[in-house]
Amino acid sequence: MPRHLDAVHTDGRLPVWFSLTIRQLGYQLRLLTRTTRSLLARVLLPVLILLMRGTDTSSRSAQFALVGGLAVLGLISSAFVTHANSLVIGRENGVLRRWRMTPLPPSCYFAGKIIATVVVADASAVLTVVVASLTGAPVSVGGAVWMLIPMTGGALAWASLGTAASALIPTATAAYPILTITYLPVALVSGALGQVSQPGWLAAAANYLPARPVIRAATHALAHPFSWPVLTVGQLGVLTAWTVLGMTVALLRFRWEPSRPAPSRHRTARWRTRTA
Amino acid sequence: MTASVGTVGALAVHDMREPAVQLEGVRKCYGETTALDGVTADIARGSIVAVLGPNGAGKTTLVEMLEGFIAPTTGTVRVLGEDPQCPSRRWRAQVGMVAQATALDPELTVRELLSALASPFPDPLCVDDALELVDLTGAAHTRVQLLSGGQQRRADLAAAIIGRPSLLFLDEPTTGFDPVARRQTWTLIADLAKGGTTVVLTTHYLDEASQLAERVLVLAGGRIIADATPAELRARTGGSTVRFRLPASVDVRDLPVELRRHLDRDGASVVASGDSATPLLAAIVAWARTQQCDLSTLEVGAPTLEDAYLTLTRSQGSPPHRTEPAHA
Repeated sequence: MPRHLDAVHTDGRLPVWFSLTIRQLGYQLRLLTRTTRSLLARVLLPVLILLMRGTDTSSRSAQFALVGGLAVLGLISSAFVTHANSLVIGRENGVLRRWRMTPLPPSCYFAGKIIATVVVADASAVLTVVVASLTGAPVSVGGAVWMLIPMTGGALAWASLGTAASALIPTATAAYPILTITYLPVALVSGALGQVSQPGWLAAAANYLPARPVIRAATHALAHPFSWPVLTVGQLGVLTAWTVLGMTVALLRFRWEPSRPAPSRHRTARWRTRTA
Repeated sequence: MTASVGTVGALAVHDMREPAVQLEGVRKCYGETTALDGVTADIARGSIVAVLGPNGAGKTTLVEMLEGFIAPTTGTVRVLGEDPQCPSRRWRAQVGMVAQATALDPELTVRELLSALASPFPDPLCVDDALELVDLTGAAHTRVQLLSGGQQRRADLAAAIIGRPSLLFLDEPTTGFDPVARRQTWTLIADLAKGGTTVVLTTHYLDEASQLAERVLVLAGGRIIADATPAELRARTGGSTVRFRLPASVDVRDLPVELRRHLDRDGASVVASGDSATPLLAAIVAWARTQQCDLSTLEVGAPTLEDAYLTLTRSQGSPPHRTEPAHA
């Protein structure tokens, strides 16, 4: 018998949280970049809209708002839709269960996965700004860099909400429609495709949804690179509240196991009848 | 009932004499449905135990309870000295599992996956060794989605043993394997047990259970209806088994009653076990003479585990169930 098949009983020190999180981050980044179709969809969506619409709007501020809005649309697509979808699929095909059976702390798994999601979401936002610049928008490198601060905050909030949403979605087939109908109206009323006319109450409500504060902060960062504050207290408060809400729901409701139908009453009743 | 006898770092070390699994009066209800009904059993460390039973018997519920994914409604479950509902990281470092379906990210290569899955364990197998053990060295740099079904299952098995587990849950581990790969996997499982790993095997391949398991737990209707070695189970069935596959030309209605009552569920074979094969053999030979029927498919021998299992589950009135064919 090979010596290496001896079972480990109790010896050996478990790896520490930080190194596990770094490894998990690498794993999740690799996974995200390998899922080519999904990657293209989330990166190309804002770019395609930008190319179709163009940035030749009436004013510089409108141009910044459009670029900021589209960058946030890409961010939501990555941090919310793709993130939540991958969790639901992973749960359904048993990958989450496989990880849960290892000594990897759940916090490492989620930290790695969410940080990877934020990195890809930020990269998607930067790409949108680069394409906007190539099509004539007056954006600068400084603006793109400065925009990453609200983008990172927004990505964290949306990834947190995506984690919570994945806990509430029953199956992989239900995931995409539920996620789309959740984020798209929020993105639209928040101005992700530019300003839209809307009732006063809706405009006021949108200030408290997790998209508009990011769009406004990103627009401000693009227009005024390196100016403080990049996020107002109110914007930061809204994003923090959504992040905390998402994490709370995830902590209370997240499942590693797919939902399983209860054993058939009919079958059990029949078995009991036969054995009576 | 805690068996902690010391610590390594900040983590508990458990008494190695304690059974790997202890179940006491375990009951699991889903509303009015009872999936497990008073299950009591111990599984010794380093043993291979097969959990058999018809579909809906409670096997999956039992195994998922041992893995910590389902809580019992009543009763006590201890696995490696801990309650699997509140396991420590050290506990997770000692447990491996192969689920019924392959559970690996399809976009990554086998080597990337195994490296990632090995990282949380304190003393994992070398990835190259794990690949060699499941005969996937040549496919190390292939993405999981491009592997054949059998290769994916082998990658799953490698993922299960990468942490060198003390307790391994195998749910239909060789489904989709070719005969050579099955034999290799059996050898691997036996070697793991020799190295001290406890194996809880759920399978519909009764030849697999017969080959590997030192002990068989048969579940039906949420209860353990048999807990014995494969040899004991076969012995309970009777002295010998007569098996005769009917030629295609034979209409079962033409069979005499004493043969017809031993027809299997397909109605394709006569299968009977008992203390003496002579009366049945005499009946078959007499009938074959009158029908001028070929008896080349007639077999007489000791009952197999499958014969014992079918006899047992039939006598318990379990739900209709057909076992998988006993070959890959």
